[in-house]
Amino acid sequence: MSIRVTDNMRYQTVVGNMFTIQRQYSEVMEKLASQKQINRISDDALGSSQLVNFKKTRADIAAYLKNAGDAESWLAMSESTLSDAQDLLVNAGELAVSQSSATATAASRKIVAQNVQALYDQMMSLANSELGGRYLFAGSRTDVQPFSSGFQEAKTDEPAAPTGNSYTGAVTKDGAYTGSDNKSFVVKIVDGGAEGTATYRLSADGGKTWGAQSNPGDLTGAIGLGDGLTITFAAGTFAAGDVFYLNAYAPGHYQGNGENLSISVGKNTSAVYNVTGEEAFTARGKNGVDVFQVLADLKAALENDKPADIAAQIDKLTGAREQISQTVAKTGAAAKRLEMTKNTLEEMNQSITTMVSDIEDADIADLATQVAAKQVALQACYEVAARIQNNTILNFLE
Amino acid sequence: MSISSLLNVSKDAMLSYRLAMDVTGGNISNVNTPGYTRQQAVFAATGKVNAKAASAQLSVKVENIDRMFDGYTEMQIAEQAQKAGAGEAKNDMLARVEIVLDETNGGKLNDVMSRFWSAWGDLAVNPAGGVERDALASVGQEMAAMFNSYGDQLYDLQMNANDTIRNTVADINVYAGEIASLNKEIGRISSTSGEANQLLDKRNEALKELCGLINCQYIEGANNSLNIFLTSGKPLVEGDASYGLVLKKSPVSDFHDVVYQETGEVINPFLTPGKGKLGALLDVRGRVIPEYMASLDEMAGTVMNKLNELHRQGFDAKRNLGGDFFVVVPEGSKNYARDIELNSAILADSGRIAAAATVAGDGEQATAIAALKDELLMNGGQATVSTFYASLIGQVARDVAEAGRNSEYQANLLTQLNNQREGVSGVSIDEEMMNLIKYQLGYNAAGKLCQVVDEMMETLMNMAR
Repeated sequence: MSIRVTDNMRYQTVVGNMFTIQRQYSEVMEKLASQKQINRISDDALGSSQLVNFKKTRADIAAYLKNAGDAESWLAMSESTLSDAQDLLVNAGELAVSQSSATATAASRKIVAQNVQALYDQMMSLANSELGGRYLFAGSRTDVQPFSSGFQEAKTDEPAAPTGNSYTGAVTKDGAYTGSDNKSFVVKIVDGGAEGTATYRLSADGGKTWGAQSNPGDLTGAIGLGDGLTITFAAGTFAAGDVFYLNAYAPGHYQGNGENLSISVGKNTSAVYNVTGEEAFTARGKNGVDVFQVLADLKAALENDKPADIAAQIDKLTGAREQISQTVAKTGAAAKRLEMTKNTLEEMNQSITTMVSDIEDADIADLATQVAAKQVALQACYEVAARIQNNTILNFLE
Repeated sequence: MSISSLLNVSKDAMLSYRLAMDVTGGNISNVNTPGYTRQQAVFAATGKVNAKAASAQLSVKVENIDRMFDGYTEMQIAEQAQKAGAGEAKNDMLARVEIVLDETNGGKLNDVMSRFWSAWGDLAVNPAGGVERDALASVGQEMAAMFNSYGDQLYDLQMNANDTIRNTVADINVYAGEIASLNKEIGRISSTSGEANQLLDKRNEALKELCGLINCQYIEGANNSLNIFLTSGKPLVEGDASYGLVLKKSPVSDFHDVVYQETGEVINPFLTPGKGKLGALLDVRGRVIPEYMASLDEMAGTVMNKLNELHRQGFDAKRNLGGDFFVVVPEGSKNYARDIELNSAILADSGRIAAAATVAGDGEQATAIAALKDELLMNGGQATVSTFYASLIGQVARDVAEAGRNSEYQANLLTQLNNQREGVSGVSIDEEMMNLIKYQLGYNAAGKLCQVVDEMMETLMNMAR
């Protein structure tokens, strides 16, 4: 403070202090009203930055939990369906045992054959179960009914050209499919142009992995896809990104594929949540038993009244039951893992919520004290302001 | 000394005290005038004393009316006004940037991005789901719109700074002109006896205002003139001439450069960010906001390119290969944040979202895209999109807080210096009252002297009777 105290100085000092205290007061009031420690990012730069990360992590966890929930219902549905299938096989096994004995007659076998047909139909409907419009046991082809009721030899669909292709020429296939499982072959055009200049790449797993790029001109003749199949394009103009695919099926009932469905339940963590129809119901399963084949064979043996053939199915039925039982165990284990993952996620959610709260939320008790202190200061300030000119020489001049 | 000359002494004293009281009255009436400098009558004894000749011809006169003024403090104030002006301007601008990027209440970019990635996760669980596809397209559009809005708002702030720069330059020209014409006036008046006091106060006020606006230096020149120079060395005011600044559209940006009219030289680089409103505005417009914008562009661009790359490898609901998910309009624009948009093909048909890695229609590609949120895509593989954004928010928050603190600090220093100036130049009513009493007493005493002389005269007259 300088030696001379002038009037302006006094006013300015009081007004300046009043503003400072009023600002502090309204800051505290703002926090108290919003119940938040950070009301704009500059209130706490580090905290704001952490909040962005924490809130993102919290949203991630919510998404993971939702995924896990979806997968859990899928798994529960799969498990109960497979258990039912298991029961059907137990039932079929009992019928086979009873009808393979000498006490059974041709007539009883005829009747039981009808029962087995009913079991077969039930099994088919179980294997074609849906959840929310998606087939449970079709691998990743969840929009395709996975099992056909009759046995089918190896076959291929007609080559399909998606509607967005610019090539409009005819695509023809040739050859008999010799592969041992269901595949989708895909031809993707890399460089566009007429058939003499365009190039392509080939995938035998639906487009997941791609072969090397072809040479220009390779599109003119028949293109070997592998497994005995070829595909031929009529003359035309291709554009880069045109896609053609061909579904091929191994002999049997199955029309899905062997791909797993997975969801992410954490950073870089995914969980498989499906059982493919292939591993549960076809000869490509662990025990190598085609469930539908066994039931069909059983039915035929019953109808034909051949006890030896009936007895031959008993072991196979046991094998089929075990095969399905293994997949039930698989769903159980997956559900257990998901449960654990969910618990971990919930815990993480808890601790992140606590951390967010620590940064973001106001300490009400502390703020209330501060408000009281600021009020006193503000009152004192007004008091001083009111008295600022109470004492001057003017009061003493007559 | 004759008796009659004693009457003259009394007259001198009464006139002097009256003048002093006039000055005091002026001080009292100007107690609240901004920039007013307290004035003081300076008394001086006149005449000579010779005891041998029994002669003492003493009297008084008001020799000068002083302007109570501390040149050093004034210089400090002019310097500090530059810093305070810059601090305030930067704080104002950054507080508005903060509003754009305020993440405290949710519903902003961080939220939308989280929902965007979650929507990809949802689609991965049900790749054929029309609802999931529509939800993803909608949140994708929302995210693009959020980037656009951030970019546009930052650009608007730059434009706003550009307008403020225009007004500031106009103000600078006005003050420079005012100082030049005051220089002329002051030069005309011989300033020794106080006639120029009011003009000097006015010029000082104009100088302080000018210093708040632009980084400059001043020296006092011939004829009491105040010469002001820019840091480029060019004069803004020299004697009674002022030199204007003009704005010229920059060849490299949408904004204006500040140009020294006389030579056409661009003076932007000479305007220090920390001194003067103009320098601070140029810094915010040309460096601070573009840095934030570049970060946003990098984020939007990276998300767009990485996502498109994966999206083009996937298959859509109709088994076509995916196209671009996000595009920039106009094509090839580098202003990713301002120009990013959801591909119109996807907007028209959410079936074009490529969620599948194979023609089987699985959700693997959507899973892969959702996983981008945790990939270290930014800062050369050092940060995820989210942590990059978090550090941008942290950076902005720090800059804003720093600008706020600096502005407050510089304003406090200015207040202190102003108080110091008040201590020298300000009017104290109490002091003026004391002066009034003092001068009134002197005036009364001089009147009494006159009365005494009158009585002495009468005595003389009576002696002759």
